[in-house]
Amino acid sequence: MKVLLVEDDDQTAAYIRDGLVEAGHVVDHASSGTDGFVMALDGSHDVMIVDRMVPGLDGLSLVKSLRSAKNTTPVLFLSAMGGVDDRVDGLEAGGDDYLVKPFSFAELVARLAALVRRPAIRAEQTVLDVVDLKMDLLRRTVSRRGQVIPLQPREFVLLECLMRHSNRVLTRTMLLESVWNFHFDPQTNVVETHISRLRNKIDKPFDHDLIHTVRGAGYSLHA
Amino acid sequence: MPRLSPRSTALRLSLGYAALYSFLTACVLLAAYLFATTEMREWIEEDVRARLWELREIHETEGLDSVLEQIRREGSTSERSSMIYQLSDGEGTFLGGNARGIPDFKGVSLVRQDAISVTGEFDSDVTRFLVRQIMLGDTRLVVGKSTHLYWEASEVLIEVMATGFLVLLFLGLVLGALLGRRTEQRILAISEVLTGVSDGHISRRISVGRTGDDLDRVSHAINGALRRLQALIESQQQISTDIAHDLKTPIQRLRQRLERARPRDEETAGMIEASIADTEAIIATFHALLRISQIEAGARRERFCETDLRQVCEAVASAFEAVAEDEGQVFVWTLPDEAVLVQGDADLLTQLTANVVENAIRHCPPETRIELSLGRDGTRSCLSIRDTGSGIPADERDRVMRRLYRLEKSRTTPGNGLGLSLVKAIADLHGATIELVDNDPGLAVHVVFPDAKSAAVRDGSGAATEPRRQSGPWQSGPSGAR
Repeated sequence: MKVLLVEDDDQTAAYIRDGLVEAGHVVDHASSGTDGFVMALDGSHDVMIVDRMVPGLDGLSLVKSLRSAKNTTPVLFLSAMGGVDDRVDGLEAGGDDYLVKPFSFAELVARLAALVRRPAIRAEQTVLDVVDLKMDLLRRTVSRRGQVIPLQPREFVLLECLMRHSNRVLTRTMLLESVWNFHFDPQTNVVETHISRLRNKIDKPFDHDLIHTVRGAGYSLHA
Repeated sequence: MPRLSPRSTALRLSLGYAALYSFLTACVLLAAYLFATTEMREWIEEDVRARLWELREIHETEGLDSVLEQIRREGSTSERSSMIYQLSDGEGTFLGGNARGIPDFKGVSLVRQDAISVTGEFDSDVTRFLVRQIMLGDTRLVVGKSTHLYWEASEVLIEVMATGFLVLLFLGLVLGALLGRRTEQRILAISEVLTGVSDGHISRRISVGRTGDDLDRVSHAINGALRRLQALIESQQQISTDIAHDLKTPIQRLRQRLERARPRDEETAGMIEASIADTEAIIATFHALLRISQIEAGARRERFCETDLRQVCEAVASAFEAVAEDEGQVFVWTLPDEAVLVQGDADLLTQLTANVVENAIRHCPPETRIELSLGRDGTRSCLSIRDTGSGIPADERDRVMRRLYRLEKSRTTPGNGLGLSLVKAIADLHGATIELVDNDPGLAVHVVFPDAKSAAVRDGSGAATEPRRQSGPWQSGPSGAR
């Protein structure tokens, strides 16, 4: 994918750029908000990473201006502030996701991947299929190889999230945000506990595991 | 339009002063009346006395006949007389004058016209005479003067004074009420601004008039204090932001280097992983401290909207039930069937509930029963988390809310000692009170929220805000979080 990075701290920029280039992506870098705005205008990027505090045009104004210029490139905000209102401010300015510094590279990559529009997901999709796992969203049932698996409501939401993003990594914080609406870091192993219960139901009775732990990053559902 | 209460100082003072002023005016008018009537009575007496002396003079120089001649002439010639005369000898036999039948008296006296008989024409108003007598040898001379002028003047005086007094009283009360109302409204405006400021709208200011009166001066002083306060808060926030930026960038770089390090053996890999975990702990503490100060500064209050505590509890319970069970604890939750609405921020309320529940899970041994419940007590909503663990000693309960405070027995368990301070900060932001009480055994934490409606009225902005439930964009499923 083609990424536009608007970040004034050279070291952070190099860290992000090197990591993304290594993973085979194309990165354009702007070190001021005004440069970033000009580079973003042609709309050729799949996703933008925008630091909130950049010289020239600040991150929030940059994205607001882009949005009013009908530019719809997904935006991930980076912030060193981590204030209680920052996330909401970012989303209100037209950002799509928000990451507080310092972050792990795996978290950044997972969130970028989730932001980039995927080709074909029909909106009215009512059945999700991953290998031999099947989820009926209308009847709220899950079955594997034809065998119905009863799930608690939140386990269902958790599995749905994993299935919709199969073959991608979902980090702990992404799961906390989407399944429980937790925008903070719990002190206990909420995600681990629920993943482990889900595994007991989805994977344990069968010989092939679908839920995989990605070390240092999160979880992924795939064959 | 602010309502005026009868307890308003301004209104009470104005009406009080109006009443006092009216009372004093009444006293002054009464005194004036008494003085004026006494004076008029003295004029009449003086007239009578002067006439008597004149007649005694005539008696001494010209004899009794001249006196008789004089009073007869005066009694008949004056067309409309107001004077009466009566001359009688020692036995009381009438000798002359235009009045008869005035009985003997001493000094000055009043006689009614219908009690005596008078000849000649008198005004129809004449009803009484002020009389005085002297002895001229053996004969008794009585001279009297009608008091009708005196009464007429008194009546006019009473009318004028009463009318004046009523006008003054009315004007006093009306002006007093108007002034009181005006002052009261200005005081209400000041108190509204101050309430707004304590609710987190630090940029509000009192509008100052141009009269420069005492209220204007007070308003001016308050505005000055508010400006200073706002500057202090902003500079404190700026310092927090600067520290956040200056410290987090090196921490970020440290983490980046650790992540990119390519360990040659398992031991180094383990050390690097532990170092990353340590940086994360530093970051977590740092975030928590920043968050607490921002919440204490009232940062989030402007985003409050109607929030369902039951949904918050449901999300928290569904997240931690399994965690508690894995710890060997029993987790029970009882929520009402209907929504429990409060004015607040759903994210922060979720964090509050989660922190208290996690606190119980992390500090209680296996077999502990942890109960999350939500209920209404009249108009207030009460969120309770009870456990049957080892509890907190009574003298430590206040201290656990402090930042970085940890109980002696908890020093070995992981945690930064900020969980309950954050809970306290969030509760304070919502106007909720936290009670830590003995669950016998264990600890019960009650978070009592004020009535959603009254909170909305107090805040003034509350319910108008759109409910905000944004999540990450990857959450594309229609089923959502619930």
